Amino acid sequence: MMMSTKLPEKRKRIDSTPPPRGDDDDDLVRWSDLPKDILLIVFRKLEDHNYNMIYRCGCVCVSWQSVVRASLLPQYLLLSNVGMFKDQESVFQYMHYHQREDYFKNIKSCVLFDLFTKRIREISLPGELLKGRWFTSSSSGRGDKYWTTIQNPRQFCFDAIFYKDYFCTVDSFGQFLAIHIKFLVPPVTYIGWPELKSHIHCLSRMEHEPYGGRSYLVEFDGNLLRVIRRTLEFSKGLEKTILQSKVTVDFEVYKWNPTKKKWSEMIGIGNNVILLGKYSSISIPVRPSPSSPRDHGGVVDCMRCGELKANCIYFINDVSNYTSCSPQHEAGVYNMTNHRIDWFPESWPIWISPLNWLRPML
Amino acid sequence: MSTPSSSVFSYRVLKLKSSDGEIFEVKQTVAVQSGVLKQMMEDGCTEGEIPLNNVDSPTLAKIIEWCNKHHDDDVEGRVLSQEKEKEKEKADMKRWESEFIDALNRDELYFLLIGSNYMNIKELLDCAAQKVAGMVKGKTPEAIREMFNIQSDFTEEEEKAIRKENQWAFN
Repeated sequence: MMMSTKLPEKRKRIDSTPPPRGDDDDDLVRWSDLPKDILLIVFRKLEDHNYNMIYRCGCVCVSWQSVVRASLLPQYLLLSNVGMFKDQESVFQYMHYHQREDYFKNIKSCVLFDLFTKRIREISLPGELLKGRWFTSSSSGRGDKYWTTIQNPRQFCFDAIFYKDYFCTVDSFGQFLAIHIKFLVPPVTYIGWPELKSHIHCLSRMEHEPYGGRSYLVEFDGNLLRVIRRTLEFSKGLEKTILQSKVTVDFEVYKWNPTKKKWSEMIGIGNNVILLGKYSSISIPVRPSPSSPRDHGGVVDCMRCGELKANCIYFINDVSNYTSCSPQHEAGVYNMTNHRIDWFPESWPIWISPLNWLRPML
Repeated sequence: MSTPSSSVFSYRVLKLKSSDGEIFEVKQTVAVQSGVLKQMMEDGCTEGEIPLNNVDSPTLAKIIEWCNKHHDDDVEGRVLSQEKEKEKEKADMKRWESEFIDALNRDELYFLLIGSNYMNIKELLDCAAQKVAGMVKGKTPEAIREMFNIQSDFTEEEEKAIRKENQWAFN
């Protein structure tokens, strides 16, 4: 039905045999209009470690896409950044940092983890993606084929996001830069410090110095948010082998006011969640569950039931630890209502790599 | 019907009427494989002709062929003494199933999916869906469209965006 108004003359039968019993319109063979429950049965049979086939089916037509979108694709996945790879024996292994150069040369796939089903998926990747680190945050779909290098002499940027027409970065001193997209001209633009000033739309030093914390940028309901993840350093171990460890203790959320050029603190995010991760933070609305008995349960219990809990920040271990190959158990959920942190179980296979959130788009 | 059976029940016959008006007579023991017909039998409303508006006669004939092959009426009487025999029976059935499905052309497969879904015959639906999955596997969206004669109803921009987002899926 949908097609008839749009593409009447373009439609042609590729199948050389006419439909066997086509005197009635209802009898027409229309694979695109196959009932959704049948499509779902077919697509479920295509599920394996690879999402590719499911994606391809979702690209066939609107009706197939809606089935894939609604029932088969997870809302988000965790993308293992460097830590896991598939070797010849098809075993997922932990990758040490000093082997990384070789790793990037050989990698043909990356590993995704579905928090709800606890399933690990592997997707194959085109080679050119692998030259640098993953860059998954692109809710606005911006970007071109070229790399644009921005030189900031002060500090390596900690997090970056495309927000509206601006490329925004925040560094570990809390300095916030927003560069209009028109200054990011391909193929390569070097923006040194002196030139930078004239190009920068807003440049602010955070009023709330994120000392002992990391700043993230997230688009939320059309606004730009900055989330500070406060960490505490503490020592553990025996007297002679003291290990410095950073542990997440608290979160603060600020909203950017572009006219006042100021950040203002938010005490809650309502019926939304923030999935927090370097270069990959996103916010998504969730269904409120006011009467749910799980309200008193932990957020991790919620996840076991396949739900995200409103007003929570889901954070992951997203920082490479160059001094140690040991996993940092730094992933969990911060509840903005009661300021409690619930940690993800250590049995989940997400500890062996810095992670990014990945949102399957279709 | 010629096989004698201890159960009077199995002699009873349902009259199924296809969408094009043809009547098919099916033993209740066979028809019970259809979830819809089973429910009707339990509710006691199988008197007279049962109209199946979504299933035409060629499809219904196929569906009944499947059900006849799968109903366990004649298996019940026999004692399968050997495990081996059971295994062989299973393998034979599998072969029969795949031959049955493979013999269908694309349109017949389509109507069989619709019909088995409508009549709620899970195993047949499953088998047909498996066939479709096998046909789709490894193909690009274009090849899938071509195979099933599907016109893309995405707008040009949507199509572009999908391609861009999912480049990795097309390798």
